[in-house]
Amino acid sequence: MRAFEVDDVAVPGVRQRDEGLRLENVTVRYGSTTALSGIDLSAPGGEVLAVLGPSGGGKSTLLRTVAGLEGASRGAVRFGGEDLSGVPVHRRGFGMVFQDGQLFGHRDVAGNVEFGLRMRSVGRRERSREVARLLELVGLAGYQRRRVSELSGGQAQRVALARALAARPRLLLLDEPLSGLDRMLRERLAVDLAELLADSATTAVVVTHDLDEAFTLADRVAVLSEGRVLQEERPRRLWTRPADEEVAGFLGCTTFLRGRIEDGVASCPLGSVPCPGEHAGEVLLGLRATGVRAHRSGTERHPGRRGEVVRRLHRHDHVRLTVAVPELAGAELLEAVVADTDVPDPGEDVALALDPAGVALLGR
Amino acid sequence: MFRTRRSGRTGAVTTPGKPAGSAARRPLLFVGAVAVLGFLGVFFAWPVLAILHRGLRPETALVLVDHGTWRIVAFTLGQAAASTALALAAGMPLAYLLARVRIPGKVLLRAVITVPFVLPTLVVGMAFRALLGTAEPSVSAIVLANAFFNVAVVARTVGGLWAQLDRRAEDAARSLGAGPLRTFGTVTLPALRPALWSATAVVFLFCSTSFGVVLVLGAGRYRTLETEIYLRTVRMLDLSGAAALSLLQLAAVLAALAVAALARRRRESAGGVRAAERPARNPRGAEWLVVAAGGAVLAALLVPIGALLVRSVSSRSGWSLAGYRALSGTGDGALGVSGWQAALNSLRTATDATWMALSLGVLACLVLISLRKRWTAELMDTALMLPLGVSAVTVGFGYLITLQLLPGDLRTSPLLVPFAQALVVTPLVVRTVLPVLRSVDERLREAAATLGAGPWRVRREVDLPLAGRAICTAAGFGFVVALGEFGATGFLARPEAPTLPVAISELISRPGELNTQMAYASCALLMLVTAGAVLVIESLRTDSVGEF
Repeated sequence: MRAFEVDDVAVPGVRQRDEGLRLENVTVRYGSTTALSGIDLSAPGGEVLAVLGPSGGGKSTLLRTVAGLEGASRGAVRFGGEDLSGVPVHRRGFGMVFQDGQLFGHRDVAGNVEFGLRMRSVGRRERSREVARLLELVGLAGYQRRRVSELSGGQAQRVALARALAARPRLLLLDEPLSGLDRMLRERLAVDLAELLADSATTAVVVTHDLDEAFTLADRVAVLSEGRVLQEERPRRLWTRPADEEVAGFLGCTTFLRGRIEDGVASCPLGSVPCPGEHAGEVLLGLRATGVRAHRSGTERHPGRRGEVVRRLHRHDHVRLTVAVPELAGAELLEAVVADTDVPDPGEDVALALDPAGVALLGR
Repeated sequence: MFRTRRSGRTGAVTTPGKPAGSAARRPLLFVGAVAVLGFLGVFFAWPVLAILHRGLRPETALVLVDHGTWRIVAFTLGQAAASTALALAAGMPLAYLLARVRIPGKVLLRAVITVPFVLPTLVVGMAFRALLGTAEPSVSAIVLANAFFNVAVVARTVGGLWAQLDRRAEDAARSLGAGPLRTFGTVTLPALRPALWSATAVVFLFCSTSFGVVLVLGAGRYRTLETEIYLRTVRMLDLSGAAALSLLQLAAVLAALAVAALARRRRESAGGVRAAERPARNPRGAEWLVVAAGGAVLAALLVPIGALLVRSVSSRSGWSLAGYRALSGTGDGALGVSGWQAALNSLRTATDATWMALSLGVLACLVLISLRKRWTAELMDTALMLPLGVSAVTVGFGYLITLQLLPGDLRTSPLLVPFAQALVVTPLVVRTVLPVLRSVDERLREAAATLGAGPWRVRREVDLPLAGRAICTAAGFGFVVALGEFGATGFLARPEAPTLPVAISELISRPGELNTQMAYASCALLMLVTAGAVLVIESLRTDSVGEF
């Protein structure tokens, strides 16, 4: 596993241009409360870093500190190697998209998008060309003269994005950019945003409490809770190998079982899952509801551990069960899913089996 | 293994606490604060302190044990309390009308309510004299006139908050079984309390320092601190006594301002009540009684105005335009210039005063919203309000002492009167513009900063456009208030360049039917200009966030 870390060692003179954003031991205090403590994070040039975590965990403070809207009481924020502590907000060249857009109500759409260009004294003709290009980019071509109060939530957020991009920021900061929108729109915009960021190779930090948003957008994900970074990883690996129970819990794991890895297979009292390449030893398995499949008993094909259905919950795309397994120490009640076609009633016996897709290995 | 990586490296730079921008922002803030406080210091604090310094002697304390002094204090507070109570009672139905009732022509309604507030005090005094048909001193006329003057403050301050209250809280109370009166008493009234306190404090302040009204209607027999300071300074040259009374008044004013500041704070903390829907609707059932009461108050407000207009076109022998015709002359030996010349002087000084007050007030607002420490902002806010409460006569007389020490002959400068008027108008500008700026979402400014706007650019691009309407309103109101200012102007205006209010006071202090008629005509003229300005302002504005 150590081999993974080679790319993190800065090679002097080679990656200087792409160094991107780097937070070193950043601590932010408000009076006696510590909002962030000893944060070390980086977003290399062209990459998108998602900062994920429960609300009140310091995510917004982190973003505001990078933008220069808050000051660090200790540590340094660097971009391209330069220490930014003396650089005021308006000279950092970072674009920011706020949670609820924060469009200027006294200007129309074009007036909002060209704002950053005006601050840089860009001429009128070039401004209007840029505005047209950006509005097209975010799918709002021809909206120049609209009043911002006439925009829907999704449109407003697109204008906010165009406005931030217009200034050609070195770094784009997105504060819960989609969380004010309804789910369908959020999913669609997340995909659009991901494509846009990838196409323009923009270095970005996106703060969110939404797992889907983070995993759709990010090259790397950092989990932040109570002002500390619990883990920073590539999305896929974070999903399957969370550092500890807190991270795993935030990523949807509800049940934890002790197990062992031997010959690339992790085994626990509920069954085993393959994990090729993992070295042998003790392991903690984190189970999401989707990691345990329940089947109606009586079918000989499912010889695994059995339990009794306590509760049944119909979700929009599956049925979730709470199953009592008295002999499973530490996990007497666990969550499982069952196929829509074969739904057991509360009180019924079910057979349980692990589904590798919903199982995470902790502390690896 | 997993790690929280890159730990162990320590950040090189330590900048405690503040955003990186603040280092660049502070000098600008400092310059702004110095400009505002410098103006206040030179044109307000210094003259006032000079008067106090000159007047305060060991024997000054004797004024404080004098029985007569306390009778004046008692009368001042008593008439102010009565006027405030009356203004509150009359203002509440109007606040209800403004906030909760759907009526066509609300602009006109708002204008009619507002006109009395910006009428020159002298004009209000003359209107009531015309109404009563006698120049005899009368306490009830003083109380009525003061209330008439201040109904607008109650209606606008309370109505402004009322319009923002979420009606659903009342609906909830009704659905829980409370009757309309009970709902008003247990839900609406407590929610309005910050605005009520604020209005009470401000009205009490205005009533206890009211000058023109008491001077005209008290006719020397009924005296308040303000008129007593005037009489002692101007007529008796008793600076010592005037200084003692000024100190007394200052103490009372500070107390009232403190109450108002506390109320403002609570009002701002009640900021989450903004309703999504427009709460105005057609009245139902007993609500019609309140509407009727509002209508009665409205009619009552129009009576003195009508009386003044009628009086201005009457003479002993019936209808006559003699007063208006006389404006082109100098009256019956009363004035050094013609009436129209005085009117022109008024327009000119009011224009100068308006731009001065606007620059000062808007700059002060920008400094106030940049101040991070709550108490510094509150302190500066209060300092800006002080000129409202300190006797304008004191300020005016102080000018004569201090300004000769300044380079340039300011004492004979045509800018002297505008300076004094600007002092009176600035608090109005601050109270109108500041609430709007405070309601601007801080993140809007942050968004502008991340887009490359420096601190003052943010002010120019975000704050000023958003406060544009409020600034126009402040300019309009400021202009009409400066137009009617009499306390300091009466003292400072040179005899060869009187403003219209000064001319009016000259005219009524002299005998002769022509002088009286000319005075009434001048009052009517001032009133028409004021009313016109208010109507324009009201039709321009759509929001009601400001406190006046």
